[in-house]
Formats: sequence, C-alpha cells, structure tokens
Amino acid sequence: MTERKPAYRKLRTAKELQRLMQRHYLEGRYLRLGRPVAWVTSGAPVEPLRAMGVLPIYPENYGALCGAQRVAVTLCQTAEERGYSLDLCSYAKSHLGSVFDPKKAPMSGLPKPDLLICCGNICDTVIKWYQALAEHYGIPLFVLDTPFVYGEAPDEAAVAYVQEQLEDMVAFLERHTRRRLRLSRLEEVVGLSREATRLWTEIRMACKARPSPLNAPDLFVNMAPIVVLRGTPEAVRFYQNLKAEVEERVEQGIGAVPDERYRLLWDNIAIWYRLYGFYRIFSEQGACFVVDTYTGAWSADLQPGDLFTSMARTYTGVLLNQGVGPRARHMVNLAREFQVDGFVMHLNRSCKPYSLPQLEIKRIVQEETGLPGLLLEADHTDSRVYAEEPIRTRVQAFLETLAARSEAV
Amino acid sequence: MRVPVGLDLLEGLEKAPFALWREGEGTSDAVGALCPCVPAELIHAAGFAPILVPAAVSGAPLADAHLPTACCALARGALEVALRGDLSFLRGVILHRTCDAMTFLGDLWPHAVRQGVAVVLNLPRQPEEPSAAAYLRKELERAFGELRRASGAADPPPWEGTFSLLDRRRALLADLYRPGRPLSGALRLRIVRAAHLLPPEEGVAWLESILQDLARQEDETLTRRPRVLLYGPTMTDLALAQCVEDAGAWIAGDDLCNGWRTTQPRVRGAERDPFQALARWVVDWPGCPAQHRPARPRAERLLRRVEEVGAEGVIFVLARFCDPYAFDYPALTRALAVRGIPHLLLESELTTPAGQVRTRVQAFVETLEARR
Repeated sequence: MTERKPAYRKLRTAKELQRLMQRHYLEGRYLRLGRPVAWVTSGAPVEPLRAMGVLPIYPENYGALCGAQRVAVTLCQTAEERGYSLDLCSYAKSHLGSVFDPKKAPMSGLPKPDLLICCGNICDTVIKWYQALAEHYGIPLFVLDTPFVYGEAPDEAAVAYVQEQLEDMVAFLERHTRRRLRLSRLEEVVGLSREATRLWTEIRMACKARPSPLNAPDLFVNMAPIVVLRGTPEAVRFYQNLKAEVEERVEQGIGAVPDERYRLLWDNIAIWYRLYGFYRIFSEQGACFVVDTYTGAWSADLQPGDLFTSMARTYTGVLLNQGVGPRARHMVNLAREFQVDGFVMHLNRSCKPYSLPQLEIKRIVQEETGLPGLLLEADHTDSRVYAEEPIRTRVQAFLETLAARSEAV
Repeated sequence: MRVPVGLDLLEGLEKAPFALWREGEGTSDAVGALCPCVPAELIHAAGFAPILVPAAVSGAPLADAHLPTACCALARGALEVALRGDLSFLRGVILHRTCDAMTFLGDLWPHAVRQGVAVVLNLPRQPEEPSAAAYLRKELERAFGELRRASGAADPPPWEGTFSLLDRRRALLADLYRPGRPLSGALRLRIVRAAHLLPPEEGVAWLESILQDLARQEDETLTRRPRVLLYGPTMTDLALAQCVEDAGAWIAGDDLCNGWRTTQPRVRGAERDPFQALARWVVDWPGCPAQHRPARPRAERLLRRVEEVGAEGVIFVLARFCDPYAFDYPALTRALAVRGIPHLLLESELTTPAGQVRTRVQAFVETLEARR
C-alpha cells in the first residue's frame, strides 16, 4: 500500500488556537463572573461590549463549528421540523437547531444569552435569525442598521445614521446591563482590536511569498480569534505567535503546500464539513490558496480620533455591504498583489450577500485579469447540497486548465 | 395612451402587460418600481408616470446569467422582464433596498440592464427607530433629486396634485377591499395589477369607469364559500388566485404586496412637508418582513388581518428563496395554530401552478368546508 503524499503542513500554533477557542466557549458557560452574555453577529462593532465587560458569543462561529464537526445537518433538520425552510441559511438553522434541542449540539449549545446585538452589515438573514432568537428567549434585541454602500464608500448621511445608532447601542447596553461605558476603556479595547487586526493583516500579507506559508484551511481556522476575540489581549498574543511562525516559514522557504505549483484566490466562506478534504484535491496537485476574500473581512482598521465616527464608517464599509464594483476590484487587486494563477468562487447557497453578485464579479475579474475562474456550488455547513463527484471532476478540469496554461508560458 | 374601457382591459393586460406603453414607445414617461414600498409619489412628483413592474412567471433564462438560481423568483423575474426587452419603453427604474435579493438587484441592475436611469432607494431596515427618521428623509430627498434630474423638469414639483391623485387611487382600490364586499379575490388582484400598470391619471379614470361594472360583479354566493386570506410578498402568478377560487374557496382578502398593501396607508401631513409625509408613509406601510419593526409584531398583524376579512384559513404564497418571509413562517403558523386557523403553504418559483398545486389547494378547501 502506497503512503499518501502529505499535502498539508500543520502549524505549531494549532494547539494554542485550540486552547484559546476552548477557553472562549468555556468562559461563557463557567467563567462568566457575573458578566452578561450577548450573542452578537460577526460583523457587529464589538468594542463597546468588550469595554463594558459584556461577554460576546458568536452564533455564526458556532454554526461553522457545527459544520466542521459535521452535526450541522442534524441541527438544520431540527429547525426544519419546526417550519424553517430548507432554503434558509444553514448557519442560522444549525444554531437555531442547537437552541431548540441542545442535546444534539456540540457543547450542548452556546451559553444562554442575556441580550442580542445584531448588525445587518453582513446580511439580512441575521436580522430575521436574531428576531427568532429574541422571540424564543424573550430577551432584548438591538439591531444596528448599516445602509448598503452603493457607491465607493458610505455617504455622510449613512455614517451619521450609523453613528447615532452606535450611541443608541451604548445606551441600550447601559440600560440592560447596568454597566457604564468608560471612553478610556473603549480606547484601550479599540487599541487591542487595531493591534490584532494589524497582525492578522500582516499574516495574510506574508502569503505573498513564494511558496506561501499558509493555505486556505490555515486562514479559515486561524481567523477565529479575529472574529470572536477582537479587542482582547489574548487575540493579540495569539497573532504575535502565529506571525512569528509564519515569518519563520517565509524565511526558511517552507510552503503550506509542499511543491507549490499554482497560486489561487478563494472567494466566499469555507466549506466547513470538507475543510481539509476539499482543499486536499487542490493541494495534492500543488495548488495553494494563498489569499481569499473571506478572512480579510475582519481586516478593516478603526481609525483613532472620533471612535464612534470611525466605527460607523468602518462597520458600514465592510466588504459584504458593498456592491459588485468594489468587490470585483478587490478581487482583481488581490489577484495581482498575490500573483495568483486562477480563482475559485464558492457559490454558497446559504450566503446570499456573498453569492448573489458572484456571477457578475466572476465576469469582471476574468475580463480584467485574464485568469481562469471556477464557480462551485455548495453550502458552508449543509453537506446535503455538496456533490462530491461532480465537484471533484470540475476541480480536476480546472487544475488541468492551470497546468496547460503553465506549460504554455 | 388610449385605455380600453371597462373590465376588458384586464384580459389585454394579462396577455401583454406593457402593450399600452409599447404603442407610445419613445415618448413614454414611465418609471418602474418593483415593490409598492417605494412611494409612487416620489416618481410622479419628479415628472414621471409610476408603474409597478410585474415579474416574469415563465422562467428566467436571461436573468440566470446574472443571478444564481438560489435567488428569489421576484428578483430574478423582474430582471428577466428587463433583459428580454419588455421594459425598453421605461425611462428608468427605482429599485429599493429591503432584503438581500432586492439590495443586490439594485446593485446589479445598472451592470446588467444598461438602460435608462436606475435609482436605488436605500431604505433603512428599521424605519420606526427615531435614529432612522433623518436618514430616511434624506434618502427620499436624494432619490427624488436623482429622478428629477433625469426628468429634466424645471417647474416646482406638483406635490399637491400628486398626493391627491395617488391617494384617490389608493381609496378606489381600498373600496375593492371593503369588508364583506362580495367580489372575487382573483378579480380584485387583477384590478390592482392593472391599476398599477397604467399612469395614475389613467388608472384613476379607469377605476372610476369600472365602478358600475364592479357592482355587477358582486356575487353574494361567494360569501357562503370558505373564506381564505392570501398572505405573502408580491404574488407573481395571479393564476394561483384563480386556482384557489376555482377550488371552491373565496379569497375574502389578502395581505400581499401586489394586493391589499397597495391600498395602504393614506398619506398624512403632505401639505406641510412632502418628504416628511413620505417618510411617515414608509414607516406606516404595512409591508416588508425584511424590516425590523418590533413595535408591530408580524403575527399580531396577520391575526388582525385574518379577523378583518373573517378568514377561516390562510394560504401562504411565498416565493422560494424569499428569506424574510420564510423566517417569519414558523412564528406566523404558531400564532395561527393557537387560534385554530388552518393554513397552507404554497412556495412559488417561476412557473405556473401545476396539477400538484391544484390538488393541494382543493384538499385545503375541503378541510375548511369540513370544519364548518
């Protein structure tokens, strides 16, 4: 029996990440120390919550975890039995399933929330999802509305509107937690948030090296702290260590994929239930995803000065709250900066804001870069819509195209 | 535009919804909206004739090149109508931001359609919040400014005439929904659609001209049938309504974006400040579940509507992949169950009702009859 060629190099910091995330989930359940728990959306401005000692927990991250642990389908079915449509987002349904029947869920579900904070900058789904949660638990819900950015950047009316809501959010938190927001503490938290964001951005930029020190699964797994621990010293420490390891790989010419032949760009959320298996189809043939549009969504930097204006501008201008033009341009820029040979787009049935403009974006990116692009239909956590063989066949054909282009050069 | 008199107009519009406009192509002053959540006053006062664009009901092969099939039929269907050239008579469209599908349709439209002016009304998702008031007003003013520039109108906006005309249209349509009025629900929906395919002036004149015809259409025997309420977003295929009444039920009322909701609400305070009045109208509009309106729980609203029309059952006519409605569905059906009101879910795609739908509707109507 021949031994399978290793197509993935594990990071030393993997154990540290595991400990960090375990602690995060345990903290909400056993180490609350009187702190209120808020369930928050991944795009929500978390800094005021952290500054007020509110413990943020992220149902979307939990949805990804359910996908990675392959229990999402069971949990989705639990929600579907209660009337939720097959076609709704599987993050939402697997989390709702865990709420309805915690016995079926990893860690018996998330620690129960005291309040809910929902920011609509990533999708409309979260608003409906959080409405369902608010109704189920009978707890207060704050919705932060970020107008869609149809132009190049949020206009001043939108920024003023979001800023006023941020002030309302603080008042909401103060009212429901009986805690006060100290601006000096908020500045500290924003400082930590900026530092973690800076480190994470530098780690991602290090993948411009040939060979790339990280592949898509590394980026997807290691983004967890920037999402759930933004604004904490733990996130900063973790990214300092990860950055050191990544720089070491670069110095020593160690690639995430042995014998890197093709450099690729990924668009959309990961396929969590096939995280390693799916990317292995690529890495076995020397194809490495050196950059993606998803893990960079948490790279937006808060500017010093008027924090509330900066938060309003930054959280409104996130990539998923922008249209085809800026998003296509972003992909074109990434493709050039990271010198990729092609791009793969995950047409993710669950994620409407990511997927609805992808056909148009693919056309623009191909026109502007001349690069081959592959569009694959799947779902981020619902494996029922993942068709293994057709996907494998299409990936093989795509890799053959890359090989033919590389030989022609 | 020469509008056929009486109810004969309906048949012609069903075969060719834009035929009247196409006759005057090149001289049209029509601007289309995809949903009545966009106040038609904005378009009319800017110098255009507002119409509501019905989505395609027979597949979307052209739109499928721009939007994935996991996008709702309403967005794909509207884009399809535009891409196949049916809207070439329009001077432009006003799109809106409510759900993800409509948000991105507003973004994609100029890339994909490349015809006329395309204005997007970036509606707040929680219009009732005090923080949204100033933003909503500015957004209405901005959208109006863009439309006005496109129209090239130099005279002061005819707000007074606009408000009075469109309120008259709402009042005439609301009369179709007068409680207990024994009119076929399928006919009501066809009239609402026709009225929104005509310039408001002609629409009002036509509605006034059919008052006597409508009186003749009243049929007391309808009131003896099981009464149902249709609930959902825009119902693209009105044949479904006919299917419900052919099965022996009476659509005593509806809560649809292309039905009863077009009759709501009356504009208040227009004489003082038109934009303030329109902002209040947006807040008061009974529509979209994509918006967060904690002060007006949707289940309570549905139950109130059920009571208003005396419905014995509710038929949800939802567009597949329409997430906001799909998310509300479990809570709404729980609320109906508490009151012992049966319901049926019909999920529509871009197809006409098949035999299977007819069978399910018939079975539901039989259930309602058996409960009497």
